[in-house]
Amino acid sequence: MRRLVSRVARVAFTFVMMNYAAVAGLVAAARRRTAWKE
Amino acid sequence: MREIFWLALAIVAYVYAGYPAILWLWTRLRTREHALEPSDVQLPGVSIVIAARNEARRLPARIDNLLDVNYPAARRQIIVVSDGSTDDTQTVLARYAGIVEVVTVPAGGKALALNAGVAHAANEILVFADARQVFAPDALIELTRPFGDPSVGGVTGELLLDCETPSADDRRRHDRRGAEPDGLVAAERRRRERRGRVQSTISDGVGLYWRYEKSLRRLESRLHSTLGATGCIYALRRHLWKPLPAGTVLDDVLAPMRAVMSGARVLFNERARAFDRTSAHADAEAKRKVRTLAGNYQILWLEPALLLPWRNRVWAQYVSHKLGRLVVPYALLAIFFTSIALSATAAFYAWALGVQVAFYLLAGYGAWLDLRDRGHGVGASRGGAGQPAREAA
Repeated sequence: MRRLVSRVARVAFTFVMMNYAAVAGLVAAARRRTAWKE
Repeated sequence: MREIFWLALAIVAYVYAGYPAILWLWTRLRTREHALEPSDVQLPGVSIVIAARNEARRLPARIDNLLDVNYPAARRQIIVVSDGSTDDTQTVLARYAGIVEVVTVPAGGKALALNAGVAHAANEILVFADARQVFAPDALIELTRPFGDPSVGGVTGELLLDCETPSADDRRRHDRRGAEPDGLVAAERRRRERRGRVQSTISDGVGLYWRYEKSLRRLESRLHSTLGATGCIYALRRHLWKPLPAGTVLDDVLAPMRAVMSGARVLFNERARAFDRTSAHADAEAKRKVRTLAGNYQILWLEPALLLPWRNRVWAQYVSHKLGRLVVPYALLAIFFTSIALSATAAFYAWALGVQVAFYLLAGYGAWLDLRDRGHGVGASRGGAGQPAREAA
């Protein structure tokens, strides 16, 4: 049970992090910041 | 307020569940000829282009891997573009004189480096690879196989991450494909299984996400075309290549989408495989995702015709998949705040708020697990955080 909760927590964290990245990506794109490797 | 809640919920549900379900049904009704079956057509000439900056440490293994891949040497050209490298890249490449063609350009970014590499390509099929990943022995043969069909303009391969510990289903599928005999694939599997026992927080989530993403890509390919490629393993007909603007973030989306808009199909051939590792920790993966999503926004101003249904043959898929992912975070915020506002009006909204709070607390626990893993050094054996060459948003 504990392992299942840990696994779901890891997936939930990744989901939140990816959605955060979508917002941060918009900011980076709007500022034309070098958010990428060259 | 209720309308906003339900609209936002509908958007999230459509992007993550409705669209895949519709896609699945759509492919049942109208699947295009696959063009992935064995072909007697002679293997085409390929020009493999790698853009590298300060990759002296990785290039020998990468080039050796390309030389070991099953493909006639006479039909294979390897081009490495050194993009303003300041380490020993040139010295390393000098060892491969006569085997690898080296193009040296001043530091200008990956897009310009690829343009320079393609300008030196002598063959009709361009294959793009990165310095870090390795190809399976049959990767080039599989990558070029679909080009026997003249309607195919591009092919992307499958990137297998080390966190994708093979399940029984995968094994059965791979066994059916007859992919077992090659030693590298078996060795890679054993390596991934070993690593699978020390999963880092981020690799659990990313592995699941990446498998979900690839299943969408598979369905989109069956229908017409994938909406991009995997940067470390994709091929394109040379005449469909248009020089990339400087600063292009996602060459592996822009180039294939331009091919699709030219009328060609871009297929996903999961038999063409490359191997990579997941970013060791969340901050590396987050940076990679920010870069990817910034690239998805950038593509909209580089190629605005993607938004025109009469120009983009996969417009519905593009809007549902690519643009949908850009909208979801705002929909999630709308759901959360409207739930708070409506929670006093009906039990359902209070319940919805509770579910979200539980989910975000769980995500917080996941973040703590990531920090803990970092403290214990899990993932350090992966060789540090890198930038997996996959377009996954």
